[in-house]
Amino acid sequence: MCIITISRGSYSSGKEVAEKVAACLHYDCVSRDILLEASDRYEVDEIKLVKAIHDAPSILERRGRKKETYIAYIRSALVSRVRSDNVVYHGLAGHLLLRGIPHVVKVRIIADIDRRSAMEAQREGITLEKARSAIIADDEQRRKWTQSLYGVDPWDSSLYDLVVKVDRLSIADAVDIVCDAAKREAFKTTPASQQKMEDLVTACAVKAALIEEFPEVMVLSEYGNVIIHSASGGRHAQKIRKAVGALETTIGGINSIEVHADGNAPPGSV
Amino acid sequence: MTIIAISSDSYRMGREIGEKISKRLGYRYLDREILKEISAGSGISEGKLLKALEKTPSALGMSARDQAVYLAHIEKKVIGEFLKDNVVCHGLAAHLYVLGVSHVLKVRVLSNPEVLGKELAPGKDLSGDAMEKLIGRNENARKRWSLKAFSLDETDPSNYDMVISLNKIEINEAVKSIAEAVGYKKFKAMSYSLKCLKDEETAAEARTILFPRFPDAQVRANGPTVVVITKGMKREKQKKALIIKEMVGKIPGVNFVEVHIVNDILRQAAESLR
Amino acid sequence: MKPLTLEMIMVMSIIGIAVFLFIVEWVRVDVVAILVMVGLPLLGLVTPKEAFIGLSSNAVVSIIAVIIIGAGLDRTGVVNRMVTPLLRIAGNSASRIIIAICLAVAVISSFMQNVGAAALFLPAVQRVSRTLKIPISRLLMPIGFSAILGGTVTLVGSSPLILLNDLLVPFNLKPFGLFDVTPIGLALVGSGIAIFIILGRFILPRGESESGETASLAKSEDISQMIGETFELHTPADFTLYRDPVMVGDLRRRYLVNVVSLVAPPDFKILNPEPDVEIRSDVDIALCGKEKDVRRMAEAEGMLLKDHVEVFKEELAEHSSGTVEAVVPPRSPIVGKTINEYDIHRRFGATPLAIYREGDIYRSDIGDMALRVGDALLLHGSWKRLQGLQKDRTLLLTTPIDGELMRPEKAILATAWLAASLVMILVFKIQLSVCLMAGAIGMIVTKVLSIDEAYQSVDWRTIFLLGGLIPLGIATEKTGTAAWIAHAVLGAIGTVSPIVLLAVIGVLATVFTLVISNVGATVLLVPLVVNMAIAANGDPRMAALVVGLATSNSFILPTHQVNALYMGPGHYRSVDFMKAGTVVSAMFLVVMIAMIYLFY
Repeated sequence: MCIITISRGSYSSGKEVAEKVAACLHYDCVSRDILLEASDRYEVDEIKLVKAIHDAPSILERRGRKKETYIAYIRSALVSRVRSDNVVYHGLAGHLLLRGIPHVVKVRIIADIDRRSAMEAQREGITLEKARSAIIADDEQRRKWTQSLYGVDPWDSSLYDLVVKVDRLSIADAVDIVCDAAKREAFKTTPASQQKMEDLVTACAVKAALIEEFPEVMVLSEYGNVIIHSASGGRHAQKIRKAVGALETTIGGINSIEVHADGNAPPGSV
Repeated sequence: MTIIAISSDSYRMGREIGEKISKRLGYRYLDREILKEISAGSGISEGKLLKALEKTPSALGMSARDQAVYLAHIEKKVIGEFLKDNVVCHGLAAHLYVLGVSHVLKVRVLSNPEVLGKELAPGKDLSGDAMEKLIGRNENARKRWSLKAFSLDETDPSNYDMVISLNKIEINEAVKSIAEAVGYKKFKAMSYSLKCLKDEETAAEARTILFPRFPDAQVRANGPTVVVITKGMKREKQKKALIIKEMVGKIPGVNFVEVHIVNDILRQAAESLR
Repeated sequence: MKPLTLEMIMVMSIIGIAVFLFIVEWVRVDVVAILVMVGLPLLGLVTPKEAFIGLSSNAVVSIIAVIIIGAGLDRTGVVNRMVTPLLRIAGNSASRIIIAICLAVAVISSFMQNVGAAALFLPAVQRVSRTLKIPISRLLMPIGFSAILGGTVTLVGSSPLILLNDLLVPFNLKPFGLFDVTPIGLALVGSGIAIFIILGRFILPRGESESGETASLAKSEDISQMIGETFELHTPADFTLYRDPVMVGDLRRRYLVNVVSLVAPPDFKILNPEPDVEIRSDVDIALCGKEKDVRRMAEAEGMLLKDHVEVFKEELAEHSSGTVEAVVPPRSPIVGKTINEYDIHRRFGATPLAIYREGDIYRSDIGDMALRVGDALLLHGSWKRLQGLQKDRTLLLTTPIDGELMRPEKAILATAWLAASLVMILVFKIQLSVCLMAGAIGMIVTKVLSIDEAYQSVDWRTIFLLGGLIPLGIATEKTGTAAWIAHAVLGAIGTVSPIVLLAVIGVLATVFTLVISNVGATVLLVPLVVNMAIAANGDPRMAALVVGLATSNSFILPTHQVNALYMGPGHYRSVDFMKAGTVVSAMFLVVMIAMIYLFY
């Protein structure tokens, strides 16, 4: 009873590990299909979503905040997908998008750079050198992405519960280790942690609904009491108030909504 | 001869885990207690050895040369112990100098930030922000130390087989995971990886002899052959090579010493300007 | 015309910097005044003696005395005694009630600081609104404006007028008497009230139809509907098993209910528990909340909702505890702080339930909102604790609690001392400051209020604002800067008739007072307009008087302290002030010029 996120670089065998873990625990395995769901739900081109979650924002995008919008959509789709528990999510930034949920096992699978470039070279039919620089570029892109959006380094091991290097430890060993960890008491879904999950679903849905018009809002939900924090002052708050009127009925699980416009966003808001 | 090298951001936590693993597997546990023996064998005080493991050399504190010498002594002794027995080793930077030895299971354990915060600032009740800062500073210090001493980043997860964060996983569970992982085939000692370990020991011994005079020497061992690379200038070269050969040749089991002397461009430039 | 000297340029740049700081408010206005006070002698523009002459000026001493007299009237409940008979006379008609209260506030305000008078009436007005079912928004704005207008009835009614005589000293002009302005002031008050009676329905906010759904809720509903009622529940025996401890603050965030008392095992009752108090198994708790939320919580947490309050019957009875509305007054130390920072809960032993601000109610996460002037807080607590809050004066309770700190038996003495000062001024023609200070010390000697209470009531901000800006007026005059600017302006606009000149001055003063403080505007403009009037062959005293009066013409923006104070309780928005304020401001200028033209 938990959610496992597996973060990985390209050619780190993370996907294989994830699929095997899912099979071994009889969990669902979710990855890019989240993007499809997000693209359906918010009527955005899937390609744009892929770009948003993969590439670091360029200087132009940083000003437009388009990327944050797409990520809010993806996050909303992801949290409502994993809400029902027993899911392995492998793919981008799962550990960041599901921050704050106690029953998420955050795993990172890493591999030796030589091994990764060998695999890439083989698959793409390019020289080892080229493959290597392609992988380094890809890693760098990921680093910039998390750095610019979340201010953390994806290689920082303190973001994860478990980091496994697939090299001398085989894929099967890694699967064993992850499955073992997932069975631990600390990651069991409790009513309290499930409540947190529900609140995250609500908060993400509200944020996704508002972000296009009000990119600066921060949303917190606690037991269905939603606080929307706007950093841009009172006049904006009035507009947001009008906009949220309709949300209460379209998004489930909302008990009350308030719009706050001063001070800092409450801790834990998305 | 199975070896588990544990690195941790908290010495106390790493020790607890190391002891538990050694008890569970019946391995020998090795940590900074062994500094006493090293001190007795080398005549270097225990305090200095400890300092070499903890502090980055600085202008006012310990010199880089001294640190290199002390660490070489520690390395020599620790590898010697590795060759004898099944060992769980913690707190002696083993994960940094046996990186190339494939049968060593290298694990990093990250402690819970709250516990770590209390350990770093005992008796103080720090706020979340202050704690985060303190931990960040501690981690940076370790990173600087490891880069300076071994040119490796201790905090980089790709230098380990496994990183376990004790944020949610309990100590006993982490112990179990590590004990199980060491059972995998890859971590059984093979003749090749044993040879690597032995070479590493020889190289470490050579370093203990060379570093007091030639702190910039790079030493590699391959069976009975030892290769030393160092910097030197014109006339010096010959003399230096001879001295090094003589010094290293005394080590039992070494029958060929090869000395490469690279031109010391900087010094040459500096002297030509005189 | 004299040439521009270096000194003039220095004075002008100091004025420029001061005005800039007044507008941007990087530092508080009184700090700006003190900066000016020390800056001028440092630059050699005034002598050191002149620099601090403001502190011993007639104006500053008068203000101190007026504040103390006002505090004396406040402590003895003179105002509350006036209200009841007033209402009896007014009967049930909304218009008559407005007229009666407006007149009363104008009278009080003519002898007190305007904001003090406005604050005194706030509780009474809210009570009237509730009992007679008149929307509070229809009452408060006329009354607030009357308080400001009442400041023009006597020479001690508002700071600019008190200051006026001191500013006229360098010109050797005849000072004004206490009641010299009264005809104009009365005309202003009269036309102000008339405007609200006649045009009230057009210029006052209506509530429902205009300000959106949430705001109308706040206006039409009573307190009990907004924050719910009191319920008593019993926690199950396994409440604390297998889970993180549940605190009072957790229930508040999760279900928007406020625990107002609970039992700590074995049977110790805690009233108004702080957010970090844990809720135990198998105990009784009483809380304030909407029924919907309470039911939701009872279901989710497995608590038993009782039909009636039983265990806490005594503690929660109407005579021992209740809910009050407390407004953040101007100059309160709490302005800009959050409820958590100021630790209202611990400090006063009262549970904050909600905040109203500009027509919106905030119920969740109110602990981290920075409070502004005019915010209304709903607090629950025992009357005994709330009395402490009332005494503290950080917050202004709009529902007064009767307690021993009122000294009704001294009301006659207080009124007598006020009358005595007035007699001294009018009959014996003794200087204003001496008379008022005599009245103030009289109150202290006869124990209407203690000397410490008197010291505490003095608002040092106003004192230093006045004292610091007076030397600026001296410098502008001494260096010839005022004369130079006056000539320059007159040269630019050409010859005009005196009445047009006065009108221009009036508009100028109005604009200044909206942007910088009324005292600042007076100090800067008086030397200027006196010079202008002399140059244009007008009456310099009248020009100064226009400035002194027009700086009270601050209705369009809620920048005046009285407006800021009434904004929260009246659930007004800035737009409301602009609408009604524009009309009243225009009226103010027309009536003032007309009266001056007719009478002087």
